[in-house]
This record gives sequence, structure tokens and C-alpha cells, in this order.
Amino acid sequence: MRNSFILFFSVLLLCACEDKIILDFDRFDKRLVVEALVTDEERPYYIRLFYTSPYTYTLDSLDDAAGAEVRVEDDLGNIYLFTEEREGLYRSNPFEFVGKAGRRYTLHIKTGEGKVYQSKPELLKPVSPIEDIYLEFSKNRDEYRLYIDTFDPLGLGDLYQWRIIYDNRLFDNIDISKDDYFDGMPLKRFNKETSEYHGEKVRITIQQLSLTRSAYDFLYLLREQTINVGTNFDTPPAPVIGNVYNAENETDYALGFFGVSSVSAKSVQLE
Amino acid sequence: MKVLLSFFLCSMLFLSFDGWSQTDDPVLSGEFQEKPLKEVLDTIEAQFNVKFNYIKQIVDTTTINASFKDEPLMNALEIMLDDKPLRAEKGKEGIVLTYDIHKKLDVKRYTIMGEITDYSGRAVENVKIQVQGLKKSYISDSLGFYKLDNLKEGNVFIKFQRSGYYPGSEGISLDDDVTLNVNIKVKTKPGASSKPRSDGQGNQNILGPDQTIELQESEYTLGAFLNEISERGQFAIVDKTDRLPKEKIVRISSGSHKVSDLLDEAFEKTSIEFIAFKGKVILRNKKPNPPNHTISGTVKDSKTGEAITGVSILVKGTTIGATSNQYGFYSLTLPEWDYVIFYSSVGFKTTLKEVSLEGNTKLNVALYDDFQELEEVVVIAENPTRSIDQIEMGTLKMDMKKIKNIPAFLGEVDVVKSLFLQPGVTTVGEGAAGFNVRGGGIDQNLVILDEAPVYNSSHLFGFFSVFNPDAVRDVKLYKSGIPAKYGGRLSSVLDVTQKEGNNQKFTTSGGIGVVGGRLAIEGPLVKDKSSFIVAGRRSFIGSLLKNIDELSNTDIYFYDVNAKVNYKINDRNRVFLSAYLGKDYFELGDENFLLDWGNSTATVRWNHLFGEKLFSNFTGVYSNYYYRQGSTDPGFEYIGDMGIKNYNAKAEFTYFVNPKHTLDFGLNSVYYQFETGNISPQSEGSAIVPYNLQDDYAIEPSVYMSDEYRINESLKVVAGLRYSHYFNIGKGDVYTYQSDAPKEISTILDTIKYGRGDIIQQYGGIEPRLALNYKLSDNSSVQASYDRMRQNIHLVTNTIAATPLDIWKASDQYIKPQISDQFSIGYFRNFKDNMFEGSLEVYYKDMQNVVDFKDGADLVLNKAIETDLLAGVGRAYGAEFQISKTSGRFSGWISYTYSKTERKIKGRFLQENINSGNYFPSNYDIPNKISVVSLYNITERLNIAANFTYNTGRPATYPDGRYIFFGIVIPHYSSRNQDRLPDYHRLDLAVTLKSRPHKRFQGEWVLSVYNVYDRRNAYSIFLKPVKFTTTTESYQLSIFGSVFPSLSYNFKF
Repeated sequence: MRNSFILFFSVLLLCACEDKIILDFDRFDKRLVVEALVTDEERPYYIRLFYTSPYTYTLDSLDDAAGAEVRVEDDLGNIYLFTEEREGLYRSNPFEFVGKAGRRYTLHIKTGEGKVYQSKPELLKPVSPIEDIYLEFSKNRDEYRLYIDTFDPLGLGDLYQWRIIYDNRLFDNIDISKDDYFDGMPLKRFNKETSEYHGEKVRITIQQLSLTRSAYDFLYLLREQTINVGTNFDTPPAPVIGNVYNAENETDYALGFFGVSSVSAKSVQLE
Repeated sequence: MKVLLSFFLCSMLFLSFDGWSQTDDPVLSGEFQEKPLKEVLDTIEAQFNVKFNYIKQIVDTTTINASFKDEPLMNALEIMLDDKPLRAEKGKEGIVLTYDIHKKLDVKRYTIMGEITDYSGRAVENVKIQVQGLKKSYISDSLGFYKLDNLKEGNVFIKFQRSGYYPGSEGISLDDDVTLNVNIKVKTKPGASSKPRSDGQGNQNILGPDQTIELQESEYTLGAFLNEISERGQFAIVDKTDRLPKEKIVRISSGSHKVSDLLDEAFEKTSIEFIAFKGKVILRNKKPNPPNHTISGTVKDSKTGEAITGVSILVKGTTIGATSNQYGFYSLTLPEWDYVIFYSSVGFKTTLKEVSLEGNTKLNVALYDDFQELEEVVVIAENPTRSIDQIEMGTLKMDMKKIKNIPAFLGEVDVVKSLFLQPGVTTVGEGAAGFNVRGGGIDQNLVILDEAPVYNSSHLFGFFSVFNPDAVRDVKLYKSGIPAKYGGRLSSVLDVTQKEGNNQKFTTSGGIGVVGGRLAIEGPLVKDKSSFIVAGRRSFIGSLLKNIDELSNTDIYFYDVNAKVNYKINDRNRVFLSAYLGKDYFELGDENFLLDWGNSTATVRWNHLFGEKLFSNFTGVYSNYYYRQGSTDPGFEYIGDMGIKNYNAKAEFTYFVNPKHTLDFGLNSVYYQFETGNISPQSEGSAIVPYNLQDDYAIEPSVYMSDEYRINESLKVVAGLRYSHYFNIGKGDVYTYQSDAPKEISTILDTIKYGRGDIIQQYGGIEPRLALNYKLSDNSSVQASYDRMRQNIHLVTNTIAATPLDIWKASDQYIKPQISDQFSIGYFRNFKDNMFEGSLEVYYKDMQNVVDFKDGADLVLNKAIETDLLAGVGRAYGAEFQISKTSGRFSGWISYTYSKTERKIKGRFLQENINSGNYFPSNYDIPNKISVVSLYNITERLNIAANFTYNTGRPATYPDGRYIFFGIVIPHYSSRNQDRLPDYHRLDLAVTLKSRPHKRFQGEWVLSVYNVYDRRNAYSIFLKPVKFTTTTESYQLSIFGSVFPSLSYNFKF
């Protein structure tokens, strides 16, 4: 919706303009960033740890947090260790650890410098399956439109994220929703973002993920902070704080998020 | 009036006609007291060699009461026979007197008199004064006095001419005797200076009571003494005593004496008192305890008959005064005596009235437009240091004429935008809704249109305001010293009064510009009793956009309608009905998105006057603000409705106890209904299910009382007290939360259900208000004020500029009322005979329970909104400096504001802190602001206006790091509002060309240029990820990124 405001501005004020500027800073807040997603898929899960870079640096190479001890614990007391595959990238053992709906998981990290971080416990919630996926050409818009059929189970509180993968590339769009407006309804011809698709012959996969409340809030804020920016109708910039904190001092937060989701996926091949 | 008349008769010196009499008629002089008409006619026949033809019976039964000085004969006859059923006509056989049965005998006759001076204040004699349409003319005497009597009721046009001077003219609508002082301008001779003298002392020959005269030591009889003073000082002595002890001996020592001291001495130990004006001394018997009488009435605009608010009414020679209220009513209680009363108001010529107060007196006064007759005539206001006595600190009064002269964006005159040029009023950006006053949020302003609250004062998100300039009479903004009758918001009151409608004649006005068109019709329903106004405005923007291909499915428009009717039942009762309806609509077809919002208000008022001193007003108000957003996406059609509705009943009283005390008191009750969100599917197959958030209900009763107390000549105090209570009532469900954790959906424990009308939560508190005005001298004063304000309803927003989708939320058990305490002190000084007004005000404001939001809050359609809201404290302080020139061809002001506003949000839990619980600048913290506003009247028809504004950029948050999360590049911001946007500055110009005056159809072209030097002011600075890379780029968005010229045309007929 806020996108529409921006559109409105560019529409109404044909003279409104954006000028690229250089922000020059030496201020730097170095923090640990956690990129972690545990699902119920039977495959290795990766947890990536690194530090923020000064704003003026490029992110082509990250300041990896190497040498950390990483483990996930569930509410039954099971401990799953992650091994460092390369600097800053930690991997689970799929024969040992597959996420299960109904379990609560906690991430524990001890960095190479010896600082201890841990996440809030996150519940792995089930997700309804994607029943169908299809592409249709819209003459009106002169573009392909991607649709899925799915449904929302009865009972408020189901939270979703949809991730689109073109061949092997994850589309960096944040598409999340809560079921407040469609609780218990079938979702037929549910349109998904295709603005990145330009007619190449690719395989498009849609993943439907269940989200915890804190994951939803985190992604909501992340979207607000990265996509919907630029007008005074957007939220003011704020730190996107997730669910990982210094175990001894809560004011020392890590960035990023330890996500726990069920995944259902469907693909469609474009000829 | 009597006083002037007797003065006139006893001291006037008549001068010759200088040979420019327009008539060859013989002129008649003489006094006829109860003389039979027959005798008069005989005298005339004998004197002028004319012959009368008449029927004997008529003439024998008629007597004449009249006196003439050099009156042309036919005029004299007309005047003599004015109240007789007779008519005089020149015939072949002489003058024929006939019966005239059509003659109206009850036509009232009025007198216009006054003083003619040049710009230096010198009396101008030998000015020919002529009334258009009448042969009658008059010459001003050596004191510049003139008198035109026996004028019929209605419009009179008077010309003032004298060789060596520019001719002057004056239009007056006569419904009472009028004192009209006129200033005419000397034609400049080479080398001669026409610079006005600024001592304001007027004619050198006429002395005021404070001036001195030289006398030799001697003994006078009182009679001789008065003659001496009268001659030396050119004083007219008006004797109203039963018996003046002329034989009393007065001893005077030699030397120079102040006139008032001499008179004091002369009347010492007598039963006579005097009042001395410039050029006049009135004597009368002392009454030991003169009874008090009340002068009351209404002040209105001579042209339209509409009431004028805030007219300063001052009794000459005293500090006693009053101010007309919102309905133009005033009341002054004074001891029996003779008074000269000044009526002055911005935009009007100061008018003075003489009153012999011998009983309760009704005095309705009409004021004349200041803008008429730009060059030719300026009525010199013997300006009774208006602003020093009448300033209400922290209050801005703007009338529409002033606002219309300020260059406007796209030529669209805007009440709210014009406030940004005032000290202490800021905005977060061009095109942002609302305004911020002294560090307060936009919801902390009580915006009322004819008493009805307006919850969103913006059209098109904030580009324009909802007030149609053709429908608004005046605007008043209280920043501090807020009267006790207002409450409910922390920072300010913006009181917008709609026009009442011209009760003299039908007028149509309107205009067309780039943005849209306006049309207003006003006029009398019953002349002098009832009038109406209907005004409408609609934008064209949408239709223009439709022509652009990509936007053909876009529909954007706004409109508003204002209507008002008033009926004056009698002098004691008057009723008003006013209404407003406005709507904005915004649909992006390609995006399947629609949004609309609008305010509607209705106000019923009844003014009633009990006795002469107790003015009352009973009001009923309805106000509704709705906003909706929806989707037209096939299969997902829905509309979401939100809004706030309120019903308000109030009774307000003003008791004009005596000139020292004015008491205001009243009660008020508001019922609110908040619709916080209802989603409804809009088609059969829509996948959207109805989703309803419960409505909130609240009742807010309050009582207030305040006393305006003039302790002495220098000190005035307004002390007020308001008590407001607040009930949040059911029906409603309330969540309870774990007490040992932050409020989150996951920490909800239980739901408590309340039935309809059950009290869920209540708050109440006293709001003291105090304002002091201490006059240091005739042109300077110090003022101070303290205000406590409480606010029970909150606009919940998590964006920098409010959007139309932000919700109004009632206080409940989680959201407490906001409370503020403001202290302010100011120094005011007028310079150069009140030509310049200067002020310096400083303030400190402390706020409690300000509402803020958690980072990432989703406030729209949130069932448990308290989980996303935070409360904290705020503080604001600043200094405002302004110097303005209010009169003359060149006018305007310069203001500078320094201000700071911060808030601190520190909760019980970590998640409830912002910026680690430290003070941080508010979004609208703008430390330095300079405004320069100027208007230059090049000619009567052409003026040019310019304004320049500069301010520090508003706070911004720049990143102090960057990282990636699943391919998304994220700038990291560790704390809010620690940086600033670049400074803002802009120059606007406007040129207005008006059609010739005195024509019925008045047109005007306005060429305005916004952002003259094409500065791209930053609206925001933001970072955007570059697709498929790991970088972000910084951008500066300029909403008004170029020069905006526009042309508009306004008319009135």
C-alpha cells in the first residue's frame, strides 16, 4: 500500500525528483549478523555469521565471523551441532537434524572472540500446502502473471512468507501476510509478484513458509526498512532487531534472524 | 455627538467659498426656531427677490426648525421641508410649494463630521467636501473640521478636494452618525518634504491636555481663564454644567504650564470636573458616585454586515477596553460620563465614537475596510496603541485578506500553509499533512471550523488544506495563553471561522487556478437580519492526469462545500447554522488500489444576551472524519473503513461584570465514537473475509471558568481553570497482559468483556491557565503565561508525515491521556507610532505520556494496538522573535525562531525503549527558522508579494553500517534521528493585478511563482538497494524539485 503512495507522488508531482547523493560517514556500529533458517525439509540447514560493514564499504566480501561454535537446541533437550563449512558458514547434519512441526528451537552461538549469543525459542509451525501453481499471460499488462492455489486453515494466527526462486536464484522480495483478512478461506488464483520475470525460460519455484509471530514482525520491519523508503509516508529508519541477543547483556543485540519454518513448495517450468 | 455639535456651533469660523460654489442659487443663512413657515417664506421673499406660490392652509399650519449657514436656497428648502409633506420646485412663477403625498417622512437623518489633516497631522482648512449626488457641499474650517448633516440613510460617497492636495474620497454606508477623520496628501513640490511627521501630535495649533502653554503671573476669573486657555490652546470649551462659577478667581504663576495641570488647579474645590481631549475640554458637574452604565453592541463590517471578531475597543484616555467576541459582541460598563471610544482591528480603519453615557447604551459600530482607497485617502487612526493593550501572547490572528496576499503554491490560497511562515509553526516537509506547533505533534492541534473539530485538515495528503479561502472569515492560532474554554489538545488551537455571508447585498466570488475552481455565493435572506453563504471548490487534477496514457485508470480528486446561515431574531438572539463537507478520492486503477477520506461537520449555535452584560452561546456540534482504503483486485475486492465521529454540546457564557472583570464560564460534553477498522469484501467471490475491530467509545465532559481581571492600568491577568473528565466506555473487549513481560500478542493473558456503557477506564484532571500582561509603557509590555493541557485522543502514526490512514485512538487503560505544561514569557514593543510591532517570546513545554510506536509497528487494523505503542515524555523550548510592519504601502514581517523538541521513550522492558531510553530529537525538531514575508502595493491595483523561508533540515537517521540478509542488502541504523537533512530554503513571489476599483465586477489576476530559484530542497534522504548487487545507493527526494509558476484568476461581483 505504501508503494502506492510513492506512486502517487511520482504521478502527481511530475516534477518531484530523486537525486543520487553521496552520504559520507565514518560512524560505524559493528554487530554480529545471523542469517539462519531451520525448516522441516530434509536437507542441510546453513547458518551464516558475519559482522556489519561500514556503510561506505561494498558488501562483495563480508567480514565473516569464523571460528564460532554454533548449535541448535530443541525443547526436548536435543542438541544439534553445526560445523563450519567455510569461514562464517555453518552447516547442520541432515541425517541427524530435521525440523519438526510443534518443536521449539533455540540457537546458541559462541563467537571466535568468546561472546555468547542466543536466540529466543522459536516454534516450528506447520503450513498448508500449495495445491497448484500456474502462469498466465495478461494481455492487459503485457506480462506473465504467476498464481498459486492454496488455503488458510481455520483459526487466526497463521502467518506466511512466500519465497520465489528463479532457477537457483532467490528473489530478494519480502512477501509476507497474516490471515486476518482471509482466515479459513480458500485462496484461489492468489497472485504472486512476477516483476522480476521477463520471459526467460526458467523454472519458477514458490515456497510457502509458516512464520512465527516474531519472524513475521521481523520481516515486516525489514520490508519497511528496505523497500518502503523515501517518502515521509514511510516509517523512519530503525534498527531491524531480530531474535538473537547477547546471552549476558540483552542490550547487545545481533542483527539478522534465526528463522524456523515449515515449507511447502511447487514449481512451474516456462517453455 | 451633542458635544461635537455644540463645539461646532460655538467655535467654528467659516471661510469664504473661494469662488468654486457650483450653484448660482442664492445662499441662505439664519436660525429658525419654531418659526411659522409663512414667516420664513416671507423673509426669503424679502431677502432674495423670489416669489413663492402655495396654498395658504398648508403653510399656515407648519412650523420650521432649522438653521443654515450659506446653504443654497433650494437645498435649504429641501431640508426645511424634509419632515413635512411638502415639496418645493422651481417654476416659471417662482417657487411652488405643493403637497407631496409620496414623501417618506420617517427617513432618518445622520451627520458626518470630522477633522481633515494632512499626513503630518496638520489641520487642513478650505477643503471642499462634497457629497456625490447632492449639491450640498462644505468647506473645512481653520481647525480642519467639517460637518455634513441631514444626510439620508444609505451609501454616501464623499469627495475631499483642495488645490495643492491630492483629491480624496470616502465611501460610507450610513446607519448612524459618523465621525470620519480624513487624511489628505499634499502634492509634493520639488524640494519639499512630504515625509509624515511621526510624533503623532497632530495640528500644532491645537493642543492636547499634556502640552504646555506660557502664561504670565496673574489672577483670572474662571470665565476669563477658560477664554484664555481656549484661545491660546485652540481648545473648545464645552460647558455641560448647571452653572459655571465664572467669577471664581484663579491664580496662575508665570511660566509654562501643562494644560491639564492648569485645569486641575482651576477646578480645585469646585463641584465641576473636566475631561480634556486634543482641542476640546468638556466641563460637567461632579457626581459623587456616578452610576455605571453599560455600552454594548456589535461591531460589523460596513461592506458585508458580518461580525468582526477581536476588535479592540478602547476608551480614550484610559486603559479601559474590551474586545469583540467571536460574534462581534462587546460590552463595557463605565461610570456616567462622556467618552470617546476607539474601535480598531487589523484590516479596518480605526473608527471613533463619542458617547454621552447617561444610561445603558446600545452602540453598534460599522468598520470600514482598510484596503479601499489605497492612495487617495487614509483615515488616520489616532492609533490607541492597539497591540500593546490587546496582545494576547502566543496568539496569531490572521484575516483572510492578509493570507490571500501571501504567495501560495500553485496559486491556491492556503490557511494552514500560511501558518508555516509564522514563528513557532513548522512542518516535517512540503506536502505533509498538518502542522507542528512549538514541538507538538500534528494531532496536538485542536483545529476547529465554526466550533466543530476537523480531524484531517489536508487535501491531497497535505498539499492543500481543507479550508476554502472564499468561505473563511478569519483564523486564530493560540500557541500559548490558551483560553480555558478550549481543551482537549496539547499544543495549540486553530480556530477557523466561516464567513457569515453578506447581509447587505448578493455577492458572488470565485476563482480558477491550476489546481481547481472555486465559487461562493452569499447574500441577505432578510436584509440586516439574515444572510447565507454557500461555497464550493473542486480540483481538476484528476482530469488532467487522465490524459496521460499510463494514468488513464487513475482517478484523483477532492472537493469541499461550506455553507452557513444566520438569523438575527432580535438584538438579543441570533442563531447560526454552519456545515462543511469535504472529500478526497484517490484510485490507482492499475494498482487496484483506492483510498478516500473526508470530514463533515455541522454546527448549530444560538447567541443569547441576558441583560446588557451576560452574553451566552449554546452550541451543538457534529463532526465526522472517515477514511477508507480498498482493493479492486479481482477476487480480493474489499473496503476497509475507519473513522472518528463526535457529538458535542456546550454552553458558554461571558459575563462583563465591570471594566475590571470579565468572566467566562461554561460547560462542554463530547461523545466520541472511534471506528478503528472494518474490512468488508466487495464482491461475491472475494477471498477477503469481513474483519472488524471493535469500535471505541468515550465521553469527555468538562467545565471551565476564567476571569479577565484588570488589576490596574498596567497589569491585566487572565486566570482560568478547566476541569475535564474522560470516560472510556463499552461495549468493548480488553486484553490483559502478563505483567512481567512486554505487551505482545504472545503475552496476552485474558480478555475482559465490557457491556454497552460500562466504564472501562476513566481519567480526570484540572487544567490551570494563567496569562499576565504588564504594560511597561504606552508602547511596550511584558507578558507571561502558563498553560496545562490534557489530551485524551491520539493520532497513532508511525510515519514521519501523517497519512490519511493513521488512526485516531481513544485513551484507554493502556494509553493514558497526554498532559503538557507550558511556561512562556514575552516582551512586546511597538515602534514609530505603532508602525512597527516587535515581539520576543520564549517558552518551555513539558509533555507527559506522549505516544510513540515500536520500531516496525503495524498500526493499521491492529487488534491489540497497545502492543505496538509506547509512551514517553517530551520537552520543547524555544525563542521566537518577530518584527512586523502592519500599515502602509509596504508591509510584512521578519521572524526568527530558535526551538528544540525532544522526547524520551523509556519503558519497563528493553523492547519498550527507543534510542536506549535517551532523549532524542522529535521528527519535527527544527532548531532555526527564518521567515520574511513582504507585500508592496505598487499602485492601488497592482501589488507584489514575496516570501522567503529558511530552516534547519529536520532530523534524519543515516546508516552506521550495512549487511546482507538472504540476499537483501540492509542498512543498519543504530539510533533514531541523530542526523539532519540539508537546510531548507525557498523564495516565492506573487504579483496581483486587480481590476479598477468602484466597479461592481472585481477581477484579479494572480501570477505566483513557487520556489523561484529552483532549489531542490530535500524532502527525505533514503537508501535503495541496487537490484542483483550487494550495494545500496543514497537518494535525496525533492517533492518540489523545480520552479512552480502558476496563474489564477479570482473574481467577485
